Amino acid sequence: MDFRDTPEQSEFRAAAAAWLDAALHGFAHAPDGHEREEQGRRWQEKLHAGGWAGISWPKEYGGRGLSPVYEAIFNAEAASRDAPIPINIIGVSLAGPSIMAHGTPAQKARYLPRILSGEEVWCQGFSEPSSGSDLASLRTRAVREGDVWRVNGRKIWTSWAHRAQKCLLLTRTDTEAPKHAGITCLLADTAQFDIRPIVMINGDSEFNEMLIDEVTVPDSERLGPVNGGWAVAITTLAFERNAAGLTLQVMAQQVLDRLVAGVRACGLDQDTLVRDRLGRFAADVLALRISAIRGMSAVAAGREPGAETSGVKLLWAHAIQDMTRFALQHGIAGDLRDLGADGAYWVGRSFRSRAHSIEGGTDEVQKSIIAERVLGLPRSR
Amino acid sequence: MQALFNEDETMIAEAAARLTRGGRARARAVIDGGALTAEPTSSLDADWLGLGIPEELGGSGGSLVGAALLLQALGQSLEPGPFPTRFVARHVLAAARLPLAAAGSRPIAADLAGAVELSAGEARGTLNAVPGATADGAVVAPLRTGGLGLFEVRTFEPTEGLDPLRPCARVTLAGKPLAVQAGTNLAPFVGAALVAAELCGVGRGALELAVGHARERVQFGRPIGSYQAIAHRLAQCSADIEAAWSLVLYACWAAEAGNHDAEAAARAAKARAGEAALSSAEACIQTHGGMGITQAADPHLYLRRALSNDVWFGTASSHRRALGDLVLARG
Repeated sequence: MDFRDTPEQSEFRAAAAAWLDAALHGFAHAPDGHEREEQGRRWQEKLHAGGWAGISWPKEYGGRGLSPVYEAIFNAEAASRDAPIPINIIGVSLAGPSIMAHGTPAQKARYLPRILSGEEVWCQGFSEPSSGSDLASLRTRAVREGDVWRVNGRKIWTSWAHRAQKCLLLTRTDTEAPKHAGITCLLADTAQFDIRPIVMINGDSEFNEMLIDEVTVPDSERLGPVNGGWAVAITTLAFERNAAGLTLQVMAQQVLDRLVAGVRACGLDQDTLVRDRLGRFAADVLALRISAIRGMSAVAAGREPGAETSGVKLLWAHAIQDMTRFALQHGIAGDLRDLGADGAYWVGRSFRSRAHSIEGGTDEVQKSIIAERVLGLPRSR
Repeated sequence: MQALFNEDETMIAEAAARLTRGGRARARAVIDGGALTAEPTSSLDADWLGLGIPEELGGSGGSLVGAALLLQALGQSLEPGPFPTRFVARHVLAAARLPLAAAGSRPIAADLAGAVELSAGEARGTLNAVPGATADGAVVAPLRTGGLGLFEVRTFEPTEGLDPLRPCARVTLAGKPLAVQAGTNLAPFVGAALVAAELCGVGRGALELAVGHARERVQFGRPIGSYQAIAHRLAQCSADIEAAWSLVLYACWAAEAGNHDAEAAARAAKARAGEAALSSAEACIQTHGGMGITQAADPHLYLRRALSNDVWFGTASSHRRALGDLVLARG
């Protein structure tokens, strides 16, 4: 058992770090959401030009053909330097790999080359107002009319939709079949969607609602078989689960570092309660790092991550929620009735963290997964 | 990143699971007044007492991670007998770079709650409740001036602790130390990491017992494990145990590698494992309903071990505060 990088990983990490240090000039963290997105667009181009977009993509599609471990190392190094989120993160990490796995040769040739460069930005049209945790119950209807699908419905929580040209869209194509067996995945143009930003409790608009009204998609843009869309969705969700561990751990470490600095600045470092809670947070953050390394070690050895990732997701969400709430409750964020820059950071971070136990599978869904797949308890729904 | 069990470690985990199968039934027999069986203690003593201790100190080699796997299995099964306390004590001695041979043929135990005075080469000290101490044995204990030593037991008086499966004794230590390591060393943290490993096992055992009951017990026409109120509490316990176990593995590795954060890792592991074991034991009692609060059922045995191990090598709360101080001092 060795928690350190292998010599190859260490060499890659050093090269990534050196490139990032130089490339990040001119990308200082922007407080404004729109400005951050614009940075994300420029960052995508820069990553592509530097050869760092699609590290785990096969070489034939313009990637480096490396193991996902290297992608994770790069992302963690980028996150620890507050690098922008590349605008086509959905395209690179979800849509692209799904097209590689399920696409026709024509679809691969048409779409893959434009993803890494950010020329075509992707979003993921999965969740609906009535289909959140129960994704397979989705109702956005697609009806075949000759060579096209006519689509009507609503999607929600779509990240980046307002910047995207293309959408990996799950639709209901058979209303009689069992719910998992009547879903078809389409590669749709977002130009025909009515896209409305959703303002979150922290004031940001990361997500959108998409109204889809009489939109047509050619059948040539269907990904996978008719009524075979659930398999595509599962591929996508597996990528989503896989990629994030190391990066999420970096986020938690950054919050902890800021909290520790805040405790010192407030002169609370002798307070027994504060020391106790900081110790707990430090243990949580270390546990996240070690869990991520163990997870990536399994991936490096060619194993699929299992249901244990659900436990890490729970731990992560609550570590950040607890740390940020602690900052608000113990004066580290200052007087909440008169917010300075620090106070605004903590309020924004804390309010955003309420989403951590909802997005990417709610706490309740994660616990049901652990109960059924790790503990072998009977189904609880 | 190659944080995976090697072949030896996988083999140890399998062997440990085999040896400790039926451990809880043997524990129950001891609680009910029966005698301790010779097995598996004699096999454990014969094959595993030196596991994870370098050969030059008298051990049989192998990794601390292997030692953690063995202790986890012992905690999970509640296997009764003196092996775990001896095993931990030997590791603490070895982590201070003291040879096992210093103990001679004496069985050894270890505890850090208390301290021994050395004057003119003579030891004097009383330790209140040393797990696994014996009248004819020796005890690893801290020196008041820093570091630790191995001392002969002079007087011995069993205490009445909350964990009948882990007998403790008040001992006075006297005479010339059998061995002394005056410098600071990782011994307290190796001890904490290994007790944390046993605590992870306690959590797993309690959880396993709770899950077994939740699958069998039917109320309102369904197994109670199909209710989310039960299932989700147990799922949270599982996640907490896994987090603690990751910390234990890292703490073992970091101590062995002499990594800079070995102390922080051991403190995090002991804190998290103590909390996880306790909340799993409590969840086990709750899942068993009325039976859970009876002495006839086994859940309280896990609660007892979780609590008695929390004290051994530092409570969760003491480690949390110390870890808080470490991150505050980090610059």
